[in-house]
Order: sequence, then structure tokens, then C-alpha cells
Amino acid sequence: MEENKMEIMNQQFSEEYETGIQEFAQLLTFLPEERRLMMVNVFVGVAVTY
Amino acid sequence: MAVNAQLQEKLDLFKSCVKFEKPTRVPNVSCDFTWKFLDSEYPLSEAMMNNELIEKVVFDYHERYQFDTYIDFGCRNHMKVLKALGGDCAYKIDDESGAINFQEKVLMEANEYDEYINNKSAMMWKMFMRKFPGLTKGQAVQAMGAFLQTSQFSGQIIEKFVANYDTPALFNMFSVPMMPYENFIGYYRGMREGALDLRKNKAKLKEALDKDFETAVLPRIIGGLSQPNEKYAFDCYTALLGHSVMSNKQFEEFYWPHLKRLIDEVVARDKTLYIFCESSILRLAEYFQDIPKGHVCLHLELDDIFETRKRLPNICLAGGMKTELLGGATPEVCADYAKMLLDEMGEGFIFSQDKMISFRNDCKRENLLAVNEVVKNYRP
Repeated sequence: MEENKMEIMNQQFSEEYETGIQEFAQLLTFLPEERRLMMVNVFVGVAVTY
Repeated sequence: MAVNAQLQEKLDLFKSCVKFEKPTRVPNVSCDFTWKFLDSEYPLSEAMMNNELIEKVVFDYHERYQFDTYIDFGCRNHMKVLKALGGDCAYKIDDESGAINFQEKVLMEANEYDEYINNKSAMMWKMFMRKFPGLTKGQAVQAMGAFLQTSQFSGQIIEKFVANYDTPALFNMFSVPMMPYENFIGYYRGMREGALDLRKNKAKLKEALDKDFETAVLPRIIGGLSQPNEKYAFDCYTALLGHSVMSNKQFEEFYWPHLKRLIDEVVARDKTLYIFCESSILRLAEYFQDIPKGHVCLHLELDDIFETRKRLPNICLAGGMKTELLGGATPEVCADYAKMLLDEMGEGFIFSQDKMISFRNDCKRENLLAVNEVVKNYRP
């Protein structure tokens, strides 16, 4: 299981938006589920302006 | 939310100034960013990556210089998030020179305005992938953690300043609406392409800016102004940066409509707005001359503050203390200049430096101490 998780973490995101943000959101298990997608969009918007 | 008497006294100084009422003393704002780290014993690259050190640097700085508030509390710092995102970090720290250099990258092509306008979220994702090529899922998760921690840390530092030093933040970090053009010239298109777009992509740029304003910036303005901001010196903050590449005509078309709406909302709600004006705004004075007194403070950088006062007697001005003196003159010369500034500017003036003090040569400790002693003891 651990090896599988490591393998996932070494992957890159899909370049396609709808798929990519879902992939990102699913990994944010430390956030409440209902906030994950919103936080991904917020983070992406902010990181682009860093 | 109730504030204690000492904090309220400091808040009242700013309220008096913006309304052109005589304050009990002239408030002093620190316009420093990296200089506080250069003034410490820690290398820049080490301090900026360590929250404990940031906190130590920021509190030591306050105990040394005793400003009434700060444009930055050490939190305008994306290093940890960018490090987690990996790749070639956009910011390069040079500990020897004390400089932080920003490597810009064109993230959005000129022919992608339609995609931005019609599907902004997808275009942001595209820009994110371009800014951080090769980003792994693990790096992104770590970066999200660093982002949340940094946001939390920023709030904590501000709370500690209030609790430990009765010192308010200049503004609420959730009430900072930057005008839409700033993102295009600063990040999406870069300086060169963003400036060229003003001529070569006028219609699409205008459409993108107007849409961004309605969907993203205006809600932020209204949300920020609706918050209880009684713990902050000002209700709202923004910075004028991109205007510096525009002609007056371009400013009127691409920038002013959005800025005017921000100012109108501030005035309509009887709130206050602090605008940091990078470069020069004196050539744009006509746009600010009809703003009712009592709402807006302009922090000047390159402009002569005395000339600006004549042109805009309705606007509170901040800044004035020349960094060429702070960095190159004696404490006596600096102190004399500070006294002259305070005497001449009178009401509607907030003392600060005339530019962001960011480099080692921008300021000497003994000069800043001498100046701040003058400001602290000056009685209008």
C-alpha cells in the first residue's frame, strides 16, 4: 500500500484541467472533503501569482 | 470587537490623519520588506525559510524601532511554498548582496486571451503547469500544506502584535483587492508582453480585465469592506504598480475604471483606503483630485511629497523620508530632514519612508533610530 502511495506521489498531474484538479483534490485528505476542490482552485490561482 | 485603549489610541492616529484632523502625534509606518532581515543577525536565505526566525526578526525589529504599524510583518514571503513546489524557484536569494531577484516567465501566450476570458479556471491550471513544470503530486500536496501553514502564521503574527505590543496591522490581509492589470503584467504575461498588450491586444486585454474585475476583484472589494476592520489602521489596501508602464490615456482605459470603482465603494461605505504608489503618480493627479477628503491615503515613492500636497490637498499622503538620506547621510542630517518634513506637511500626513527599504544600502540602523526618535517625540 505504501509503495502504491509513493508511486502516486511521484506521478505528475493531468494537464487537462477537469482531471488535474480532481487528482489534486483527492490527495488533500487533511482537508474536509467539501473544501478540497475549492482550495485547489484557490491555491492554483495564488501560486501562479507568486 | 472591542479593542483596548492603547491600541485604539494608535488606530485613532491613522483615522485623524486620513481625515485631516490634528492627531496627538504623527503616526509612523514602516515601509520595509527585506531590510528588516538584513538588519538582523541572520542570513536572508535562512531567516525567510524559518517561521521561528521570522517571528524573532520581526519582533526584534519592532522593539528596536517602535513603528506604529508595518506594511509587512515578515509574511510577504512565498519561499516555503515555492520550495515545496520545486523546480526552478522564481525567487533567487543572494545572501552576499542581500538581494532577492525575481525571474519572470511568460505563462500565458498572446493568443490565449480567449481561453482566459471563456474558461479562466482551465487557463489558470495551464499557467500553473507551465510555472511548475515537472511538478509531482507529492510536491503539490506538500506545497498546499506549506500554503495553509503560511496563511495561519501570518494571522498569528498580526494577533501577537496586537496582543503583545498594542500595534495594529496597517490593513486586513483579506481586504487587499489588487487591480486586474497587476496580475497580467506581474505574472501571466510578464512586464514586456504585458506592456505590449496595451497596444497590440487592446480589445482582448480590456475584455479580460473587465471580466476579472466583475467576477473576482469586485467581490473581494465588497467582502473586504464588509468585514469588521476596527483592529486595522485602514479598511482596505491596494498597490499601484502596473500604471508605471502606461501612458495617461492607457491608464484611463485599462486601470482607472477599476480603481475608481474601488474608491467609490470605499467612499460610499465611509471607509478608508491605503494605496501604495510605486514609481510616480503625480502625472495622474487629475484622477484623484475629486475624491472627497477623509478616505484615501497615497503612499508615495518617486514623487515629491510637497508638490503632490499642492496638487492633491484632499488626499492624505504617506512617505516622505528619503531613503537616500537614510542610507547615505548622518543621523543628524536625517533627523533634521524628518523634523522639516513633519513641520511642513502638517495635517493629513503619515510618516514613512519614500520607498520600500529592501536593500542593505537603503538604510542604516543609526539613521532610522534617529529619525524614529524625532517622529515619536514630535507634537503637532
